[in-house]
Amino acid sequence: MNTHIPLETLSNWLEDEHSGNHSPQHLLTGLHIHHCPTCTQRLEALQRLERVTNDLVTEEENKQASDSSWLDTMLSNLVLETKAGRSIPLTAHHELDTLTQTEGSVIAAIRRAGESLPGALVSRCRLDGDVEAPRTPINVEITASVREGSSVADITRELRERVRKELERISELNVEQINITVEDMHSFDIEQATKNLKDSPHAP
Amino acid sequence: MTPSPAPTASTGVELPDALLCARAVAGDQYAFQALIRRHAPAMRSYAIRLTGSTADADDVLQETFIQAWRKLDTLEDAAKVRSWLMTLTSRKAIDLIRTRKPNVPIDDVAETHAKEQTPEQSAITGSEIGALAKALKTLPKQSQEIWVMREVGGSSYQEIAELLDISPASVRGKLARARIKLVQEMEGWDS
Repeated sequence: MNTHIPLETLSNWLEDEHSGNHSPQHLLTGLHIHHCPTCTQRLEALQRLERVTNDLVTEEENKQASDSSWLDTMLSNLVLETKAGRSIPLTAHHELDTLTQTEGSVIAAIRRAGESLPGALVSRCRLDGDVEAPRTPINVEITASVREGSSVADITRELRERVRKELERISELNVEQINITVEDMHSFDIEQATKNLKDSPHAP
Repeated sequence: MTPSPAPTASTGVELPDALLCARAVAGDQYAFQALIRRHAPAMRSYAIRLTGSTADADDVLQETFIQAWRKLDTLEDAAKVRSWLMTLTSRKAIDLIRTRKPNVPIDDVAETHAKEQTPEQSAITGSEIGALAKALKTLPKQSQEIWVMREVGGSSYQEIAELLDISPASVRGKLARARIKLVQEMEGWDS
């Protein structure tokens, strides 16, 4: 028994073997295991434990995935804070009214309008300038991705147009420039899947 | 045993975690939900193993989702979102375990597990998995937590050490002894 590798060392040796920690001591221990039937047997038992551990973890995860009604319930009860951002003033028709819209709602509208265009995905969007001061000129900064094979020039022109129209419709912002940076290209499938996220039966 | 279809199944494309993360950080709740839908089964089975109760696990998950939504912009590498979510789950679960009143009876995970298996599953893998689930119950509480965090949660020694307020070396030692105990229980090993 004394000539064999202590069990704890054997277990740690297996961990090191996985993590690629191959010190001289590790190699020596490995050599011993290789030539010692008892230690080999014990190592194999530890390896079986690893396999059964993986089976257990996979099985329990699959069990949760196979009936996801708990997840539907949980997600439908999940209330996420929207990122409201700044308050953008709107003209009130009565003197005593104070009307505002949130920056977050304007950005969401820009994203929707932009992504109504086939070939475009809006990655990020920012309102640059003092949106809280009425009629102050501001810029809209959009980072977009364009579908492979489509014309970047055409997509950006049409994207700018749709965003401009939407902002005129829903806000009173004094938009000076809409700057679009195309950072990425994407496939048709990725675009469909991304746009389908909203249409999924589980969408909030 | 088949995982539920991903929300993007209609087009046969699985959106990368990185894309969903980027959109979620930009405020897209649909993308966030798709991300959660993908990783929640792993998070839930992990939380059940850690807390020993489905109800507690669901509390842990609710809180984890909300925190993940708030903090997603601090995640540096979107490809690691799964392990990041598992780490958040560990923290919330450990918090819950630590504040739980002593002597409150909890579900027995191993029993629940055995009952919910279909005969077909049991026949294939049941004996080995069942033996492991049973052996796990013989471990001291802290060793069980360490084993679950490492094997189910995929946590590093460092993470486990911080959560349990012990040294990484102690985590490594306890984990090795836990594995030996499991093998002994399962295979009738003499030590």
